This record gives sequence, structure tokens and C-alpha cells, in this order.
Amino acid sequence: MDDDKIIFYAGSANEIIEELEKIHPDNKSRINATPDNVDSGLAKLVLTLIELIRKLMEKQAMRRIEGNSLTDDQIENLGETLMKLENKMEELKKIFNLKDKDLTLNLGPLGDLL
Amino acid sequence: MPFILYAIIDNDQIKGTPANLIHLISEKYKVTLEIISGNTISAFVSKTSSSKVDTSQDNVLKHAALVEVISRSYSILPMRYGSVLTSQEEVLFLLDKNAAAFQHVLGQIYHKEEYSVRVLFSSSHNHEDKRENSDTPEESIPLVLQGNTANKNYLLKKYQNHTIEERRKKYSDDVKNVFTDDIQKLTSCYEVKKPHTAAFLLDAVVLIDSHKKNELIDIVVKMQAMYPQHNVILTGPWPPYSFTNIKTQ
Repeated sequence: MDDDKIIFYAGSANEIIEELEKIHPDNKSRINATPDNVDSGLAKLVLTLIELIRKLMEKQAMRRIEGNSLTDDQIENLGETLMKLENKMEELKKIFNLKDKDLTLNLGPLGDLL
Repeated sequence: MPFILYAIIDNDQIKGTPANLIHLISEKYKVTLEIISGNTISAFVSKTSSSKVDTSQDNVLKHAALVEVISRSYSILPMRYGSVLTSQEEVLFLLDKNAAAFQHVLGQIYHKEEYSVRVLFSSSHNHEDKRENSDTPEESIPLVLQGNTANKNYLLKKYQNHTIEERRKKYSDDVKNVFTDDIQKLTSCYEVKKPHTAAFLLDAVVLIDSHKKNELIDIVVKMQAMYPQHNVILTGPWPPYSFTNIKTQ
């Protein structure tokens, strides 16, 4: 960004440069499927969707906890299920060599999915 | 011969050939700018050898800079990089077919400028925020999570992260409300976007009358005074990319 475009800013230049650089869209948030990498391209898509559902489940679980609507047994089951799901996701990410930041989809003007 | 489109403008604004602008762009960007005029709408274009778009960063930046130079002289609809039509006839077809939509949006942005307002958590505040929130007080832990089992400890950690996130979201909404309350007095054309990174509390664009720039600066200065722990950034004026979305035919 040209300096003459900054009308008001009280912070350090480094901070804004660092943050604005993160905004530039890159290819990591796109599904780049080719005949050679169709497995990992598809895995990225599927794991992203599973991760979205897993996070929604976690959110819903937190709402139920806040609402005090779960019994002790249900809490134990919930904790175990979410923990196993998270561990399974870690395994799958390792198998397909994916990091947390890879599990997203760029939705254009709506931003990133996750 | 294909044409790159840079901007759309109504014919009333173009009186003759803008020789100075064309010369400036030719000198600075080595691009021969032309104007193709339809019945009521014109387009700033340049010839290109191929209708294939080379999406290198240099080309994208050059295109944006060129549009920016045009927008300093006229109220335009900026065209995004990659707007290429295969012939002059296609350009004329686009202009005449969409003339009403173009004129409508041009009317909305006439003598207006786009600015970006962002509020950043400062780096130091980010660290404080994490430190402050790393532990949830015993009394605010839901009863069902009390007890020392692996499953409950796992859920407790999730719950703590959840409450931090909720607090942060509420705080961000408060900042957003302060901004929108003030900006509504200046313009109805503003958009608060989803922040791109966690470092942003607010990411907004506004379209204001050119002569209201100082009032916008006052709003930003006031916000900075209200939130000295964060950094408020005002940039612009930009070509009105955020307020000129048209589905062309």
C-alpha cells in the first residue's frame, strides 16, 4: 500500500504490514485437484467439511453445557466422543500431510470457511 | 484485437479526449489508454495481444494502480483485473446492453470516494488478552464440568476457549456498533466485512461524499481516543470497488 493512502494510523508500521500481508489470498485455500494429486485435493475438501461439522458439534456441545441440560454421564460421553473425533482428525491430517491452516475453503467475498 | 477494461464512465463526464491522463498513463505504465464510447456510457480500455489473462502479481498491481489514476480524475466504475473482451464490438455491446445498470451505479458514486477503516488489536494487547483469559474463575465453571476426569478436563479446556472466543466476539461487536452508530450519520453506504485475520477487530469500507473526508477523519480520531489500546487505520481514497458490483449481461 502506498504511504499516501494511509490517512490516519497511530500504530507501528511493522504491525500493519504484517497483518495486511496475511490478507492477500493465496492458493492454499483453493482446491487444486489435478490428475496427479486428486487424492490429496479430495482429502483436503472432505477433511475441511468434516472439520466444519466437528466445530459445529463442539459449538453445540458448549451451548448445551452453558444451558446446564446435560447429565454427568452425558458429559462423560460427550467429552470422550469429541476427544476421539479430534484425535481421529489429527491422524487423518497426518496421513494426507495437511495442517490446520490447510483446512479451509475460500468463499470469495464471504471470506474463508473456517 | 482483445481489449483490457479498466473503468466505465458516463459520456457526460468525458468532454473530448483526456490527453493529459492518457499521456500520464503512457509515461508511467507504458499502456496506451483508449476510450470506447457507446450511446451513453464509455470505457477506458487498452489493446492487448491475447485474451488470456496473465495473473502475475505485477500485472494485478499495475492494473489497480492504473484504475486508481483514472479514478483521481473521474467518478468511475472500476473494473477488476481480468476484465478482457475480445473485440471493440464486444465492448460496445457490453456498454449499451448494461447502460441502465451502469448509469444507476454511476449516479450512486458520483463525487463520492471509498475509504477503508480497520481496527487492529495491537500486538501487546493480543498478548495481554491471552494472559487475562487463560484461566476461567472457579465460580464460572459450569457445575457439570467440575470433577477431575480426562473427559471433563478435555471439555473444560474447550469451554474455556469457547468463553474467550465469545467474549472476544462480543467486544468486537461493541466496537462495530460504536463505528456504525457514528458512520450512519455520515453515509448509508458502508459495509462491515468479516475480519480476514484474528488481529482485526473491525474491517469496514465506506463510501462518502468527497467533501466529507474531514468528518470521517473525526470519527476515526474519536474511535482511536476511545480505544487507545488498539490501532485504528483509515486508508483511501480508493476506487469504489466495494460499492459497484454489477452483474453484466
